[in-house]
Order: sequence, then C-alpha cells, then structure tokens
Amino acid sequence: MDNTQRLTVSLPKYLYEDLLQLVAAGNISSFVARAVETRLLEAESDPFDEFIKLREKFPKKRRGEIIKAIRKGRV
Amino acid sequence: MKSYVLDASAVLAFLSEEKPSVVEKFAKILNEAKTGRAKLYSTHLLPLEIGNGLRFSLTDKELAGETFRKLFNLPIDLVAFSFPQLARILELSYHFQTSFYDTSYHLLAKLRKGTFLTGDAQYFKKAKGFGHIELL
Repeated sequence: MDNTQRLTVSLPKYLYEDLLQLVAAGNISSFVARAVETRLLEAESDPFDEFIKLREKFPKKRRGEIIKAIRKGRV
Repeated sequence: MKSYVLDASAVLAFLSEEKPSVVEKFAKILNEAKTGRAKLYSTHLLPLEIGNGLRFSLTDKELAGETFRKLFNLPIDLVAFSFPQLARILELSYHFQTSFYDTSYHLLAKLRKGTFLTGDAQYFKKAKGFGHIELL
C-alpha cells in the first residue's frame, strides 16, 4: 500500500528557482519531505528552553566587549 | 499583560555573562513570555545588531548560526515604525544625546506601554528620564 500523500504546493518563483539549483527535478519530493520533517521536529522542542540552553555553550564575555561587538563597523 | 522590548545588548548579556542578577532577570522575562504573561517586542534593528554582535564576539561560526536561529524562533514581534514615529525617535535622540538606533527601541517600549530591557549602561544613564526602561 502506498504510504505517501500527493499534494500541490505553491512556492515563490525565486524559491523554486533556487530549489532547482540545488535539487534535481525528480528529487524534489524527498527533499521537501526531509525539510518538513526537520521543521516538525524543531517545532516539538520548546523554543524558550532551546534558547536558554545556549548559555551553556557561550563563551563568557564582559559587557564592554558585547557592546563593542554590536557596534563594530557602525559609523 | 506586560510588554518587554529587547535590544541586542540585553540578549547577548544574558547569553555571555555569569552575573546571577542578569541571568535571573532575563530568564524571568522569558518565563513570563513562555507562560503568556508577557509579550516580547523589538525593532527590525535587532537581527542586524545580533548578527553583528555574534560576528565580532564569537569565533565559533556554528554557534553563531545556532544562536541566531534559536533567538528568532522565540516569539519576538519585530515592529516597523511609521514615519511620524521615526521623526519622534530623531527628536528624542537629540534631546537625550543618544543614538537614533538605541532610541528606537526605547520609543517602542513607550508606545507599547512596556519596558525597554537594555544591557547598555551608557544609554540607560542618558535616557532613563524617559521612563519605560530597565538596565539588565
């Protein structure tokens, strides 16, 4: 039994053209399926917890260094 | 419901600093937003300032990308200004001798009847008289 569902989606033209640069026309379905699966898995996790957990990985900085980095190159 | 306006210095201070008061205050606000007791706002300047802040404070490109993605997965409403609002920002920035950029966050907090949460002590000192501001 076929366990796939056919559907029609509309994409902005620029996005479709970019997609064709990356994926052969015959492989679009599997590419989209993987992208949707990835996004759904992301949606299952709590974005607040995910953001807070970043603190564990972040190198510690002083406030002055942070402000300087934000403004660097701004004239 | 409370409203908070976040700037890049507050976000990056939360991620980069160890001071308990900084971490606890920001985490409390995130928890209020998570439980529907507060709403988070910023301006369209936030992604640009965060991007620059990450670019020049982290050597780890992967962590910078992950941070950018995870920050903007949060429900932060990025607000665009009307021309009269931009004109008001200009006026206020002359009055407080502050940058147009920083003042834009502050006016947004006033417009939303909320609190501008900043990590920039210099800005806070100059413009605290306008109200609607807390230093992280």
